[in-house]
Amino acid sequence: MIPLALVFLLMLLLKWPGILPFANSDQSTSLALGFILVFAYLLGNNLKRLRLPQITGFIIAGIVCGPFILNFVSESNVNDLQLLDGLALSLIP
Amino acid sequence: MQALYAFGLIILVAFLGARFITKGTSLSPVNYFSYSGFIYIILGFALGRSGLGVLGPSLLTGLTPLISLGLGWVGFLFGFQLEAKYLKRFPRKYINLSFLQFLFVFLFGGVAFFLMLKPIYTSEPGFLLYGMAVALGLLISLNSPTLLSMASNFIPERGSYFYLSRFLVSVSGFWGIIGLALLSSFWHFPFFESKIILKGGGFLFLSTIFPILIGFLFHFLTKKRVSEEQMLVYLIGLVFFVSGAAFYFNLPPLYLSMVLGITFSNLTKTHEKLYPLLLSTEKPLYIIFLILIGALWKVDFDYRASIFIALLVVLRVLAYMLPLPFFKVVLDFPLRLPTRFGLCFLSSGGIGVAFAVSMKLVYPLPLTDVFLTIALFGILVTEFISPWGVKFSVFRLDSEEQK
Repeated sequence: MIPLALVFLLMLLLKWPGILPFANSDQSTSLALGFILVFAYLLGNNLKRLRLPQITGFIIAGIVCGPFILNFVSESNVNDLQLLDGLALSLIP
Repeated sequence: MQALYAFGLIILVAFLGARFITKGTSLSPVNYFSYSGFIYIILGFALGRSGLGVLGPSLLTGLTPLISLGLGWVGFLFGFQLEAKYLKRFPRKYINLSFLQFLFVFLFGGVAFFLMLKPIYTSEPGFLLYGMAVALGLLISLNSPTLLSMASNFIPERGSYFYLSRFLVSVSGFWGIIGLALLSSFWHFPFFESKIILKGGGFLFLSTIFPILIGFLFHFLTKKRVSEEQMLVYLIGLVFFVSGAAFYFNLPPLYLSMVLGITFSNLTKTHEKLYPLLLSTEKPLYIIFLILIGALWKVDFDYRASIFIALLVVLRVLAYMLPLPFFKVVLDFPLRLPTRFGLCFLSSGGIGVAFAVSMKLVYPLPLTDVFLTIALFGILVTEFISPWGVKFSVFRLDSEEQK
């Protein structure tokens, strides 16, 4: 739980309005991807301990951090990462 | 859909290419080009926007996260080998020599470049030319261990010069990347001139503390028993996170991920677990990175750039050769340091390419397109001649020493 909280807090800090004037929001795709990879994986692992499927954690992470709630992964990030969507879909058995 | 095809093509080339990267039968420039993967920059260039256009601008935008991962990966691997326990095995004079060498090459190169830049690029503002001279000075101070790692298979007798050069090329990049961090913090884009000390200090603090925190997190996550899959997800995710944060603040991903690598390497006891993972993923990722760099490369070539490419090659040769006898006296170095020993430092390898690309991405200005052209052409030329340099220096000096 501590690593999950730490990753979340770090992202919160990076998206803090006081920091935004120094940030280049056009270049946030890799940050969003790295964050969501680690955060979703950790959340999935935590839910696994509660006997819930790991994928539930991934979906919850996507909803909470996506454009409609916290906006850590913005709509433009989602568009930029469409290539990964296609790749992931082609890999699902 | 076209993007997915092109991406599939890159992945296929990368995985097949990684299988065919061999040391060859001799230390020749052609074999080295294939071994170091530089051939993939040329392939990427042929497929990219300046070539056949298979990898067009919109596709390359979609693949930008992979460049970010590639830069982060190069930095992480470099930092990961800088373990204090390993460095302490070498005498203090070796570290002093590496710093002195960096300082001389950087100052000699930086000043020479600035003196030449000013009369040739007359229309560019002075502060940008200062920045470019510093960046070119830092670029020629970088070395890569790849060439010596290949040369170790062909060297007749490994002696003191081989081990000294191996140490110097492994460590020298550290100083250059620190220089890059200072440059991009205090010369931060787009705040070039306002409150430079306060903002620069803030950016430097941020670019150091953030990867240290992530390094501790990585250690915390992997100190218990973790599967290979978990380790890989954490590694890729955290390298993405760190290099993404670097891009987000216009800071060099190379520095942040190097700090992550150093922090993790000095905390963890699971090196032996991570090495096989790094070895299996390193080559394909590196090839993808080189193809994308080649594809992104917008060649801004004119007579002025050609002058600086030639200057970069000449300065690199001179800056490594000339001061060696002086260093021997100043440091009271236990080994003879003849000028020709400097010829083994001509290769800057992947770290030089990553440095040049970092500069281009951190400073999205027309002048950095010129910088990238000078840097990449200069690197390709020095890489091509570097195998001969190693033969004339390390091979001969070690043979003479054995006699």
